[in-house]
Amino acid sequence: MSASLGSPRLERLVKVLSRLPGIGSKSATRIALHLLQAHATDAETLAQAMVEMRTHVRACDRCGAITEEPECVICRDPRRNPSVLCIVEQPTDVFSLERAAIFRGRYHVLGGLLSPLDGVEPDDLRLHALRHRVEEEGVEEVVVALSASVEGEATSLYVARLLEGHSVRTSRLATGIPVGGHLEFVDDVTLERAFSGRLPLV
Amino acid sequence: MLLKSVKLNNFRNLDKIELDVSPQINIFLGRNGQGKTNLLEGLSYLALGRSHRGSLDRDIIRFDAEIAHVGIVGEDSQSDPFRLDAAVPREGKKKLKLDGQAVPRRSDLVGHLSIVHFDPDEVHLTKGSPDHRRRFLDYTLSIGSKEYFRQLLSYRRALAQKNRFLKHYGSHSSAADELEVWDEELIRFGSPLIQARMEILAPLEHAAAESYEALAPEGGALSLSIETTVSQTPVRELDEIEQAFRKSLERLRPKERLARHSLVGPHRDHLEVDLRARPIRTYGSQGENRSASIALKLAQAELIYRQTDERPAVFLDDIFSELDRTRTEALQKWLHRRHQLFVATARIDDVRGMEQWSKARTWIIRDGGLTEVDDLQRAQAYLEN
Ligand SMILES: Nc1ncnc2c1ncn2[C@@H]1O[C@H](COP(=O)(O)OP(=O)(O)O)[C@@H](O)[C@H]1O
Ligand SMILES: [Mg+2]
Ligand SMILES: [Zn+2]
Repeated sequence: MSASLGSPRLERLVKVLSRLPGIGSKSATRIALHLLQAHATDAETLAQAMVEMRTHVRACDRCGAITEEPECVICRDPRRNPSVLCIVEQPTDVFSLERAAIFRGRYHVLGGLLSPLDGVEPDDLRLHALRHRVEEEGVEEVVVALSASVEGEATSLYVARLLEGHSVRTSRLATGIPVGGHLEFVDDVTLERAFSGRLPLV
Repeated sequence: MLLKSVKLNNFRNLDKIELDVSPQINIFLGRNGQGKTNLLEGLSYLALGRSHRGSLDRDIIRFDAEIAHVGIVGEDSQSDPFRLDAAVPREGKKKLKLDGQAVPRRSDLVGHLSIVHFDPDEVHLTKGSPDHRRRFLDYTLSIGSKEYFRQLLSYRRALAQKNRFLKHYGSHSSAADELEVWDEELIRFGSPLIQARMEILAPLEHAAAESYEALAPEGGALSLSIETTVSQTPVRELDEIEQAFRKSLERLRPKERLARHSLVGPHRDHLEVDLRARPIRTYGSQGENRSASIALKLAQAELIYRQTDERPAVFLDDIFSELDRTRTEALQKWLHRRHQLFVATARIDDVRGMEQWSKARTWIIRDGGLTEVDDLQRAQAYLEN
């Protein structure tokens, strides 16, 4: 790691910052020194914003999306069609789809993809909650919008099999999403096309 | 396809290298351990975005460095240029570029840099392990088709997932449905692999048999076959293969759970090489195996050409000690007429005469550094003391 900065506390901050995604030890040092030289309130505001975010932001009890309430705005919105459920991997995928404004149903966030190599098993995903919702919320169609990676495909199939025997249609997004591509990086036009051409999963 | 220039930085033991190469013949002379193979590895790294020897990325980074860079400029047969770059860090993901644009996957590189390697390992292709011959098939098909390479990488990923699953949960019966899901992924990505291998078999056999006849006149007929673990009977159509694959997986599932690893699929299929209708690896002489291996490599170059309309560059790495002088010359001349050549050797006799061929360029390689020489006298002086 970096050479001594003359202060154990400063060094600790650099170490903590450099664990963040996309931040190496160089940028971590730059940020830390900036905070040291900037107005004291800058650092306080930042620290406070982080703590408040952690205390108030949570997963929606129903769908797993990001919210500050027990349920997110989408789940609470009566104009959203409760009979269509869109399955996504991460809360950020909900943003991508909402930004494209093409889907009028509700979401269900799995929180990951099946991956024995990363130790992710079915029990680590929000699958019980999914089955529960399908049984209780009058869901007629489930659209699986997972990435087209090997793990995304496997998880899609797992979901489809899990819901076999329930009276729902399962479909997946049509092509257009690059293999291995994540929804975050897909443009709106592609997303829209993928949505309008969804295909039956089983 | 022509390789035009290469830049290497912190690649193995090589100095920072910026090299323009000859469109015809490039000769690298150096004693053992000086970096000849490393250089050829660097030149071919961007064909599939990985060492052709199967070395791990971290092993190609210079011992004392944090990141290795490889850059290649070439052009296709229409004289359209291409440029490929890789940055391979010790920590984190490697970055690949095609024509200056970042590309996410190794398969995005395919279709540009096209290379066939002859090295001592390849000279033992028919006698070596079945893995080796499977890699030979996969390489031929991958260089020729982005689609094949993409499916191969996905297949390997799905297989790794399945094997990890079996290892950890193989004996839990409640975990049944997840295993089926991974098996479906193997079928999805593996069946097209089997189909493509079956399809290339006949033209590959034809080309190999022809070359074998040229290398060993009246040596008997060379024939190829694929033994697939997914079916006892021959399968050709994709849906046939998928069904057979699914059946075998279902049948072997209890065994796989017990073994805690996968037992069936294209990763276990064999390419068999027969001479006069008998396995050459068991019954063939040393000489017959050598000739058959070279015939297979020549067929590989030919098939890559037919699939892509591009002649691959051919790399000859220290193979001549395996061949007598007449054969060496015949092979060199034959290849020279069709391919851009890169030759590495420690023995000046192996390339004697070659430096006179048109547009030949010769370098001495010493402790990772290159010096161009214009006649072999100087090289000889170096190699001999
Ligand atoms: N990552 C690396 N960093 C530095 N040196 C390396 C690295 N990998 C291999 N080498 C060195 O490269 C040398 C072998 O070079 P090689 O190209 O195989 O020689 P040859 O000229 O016989 O083909 C060995 O001395 C080995 O220590
Ligand atoms: Mg060598
Ligand atoms: Zn919600």
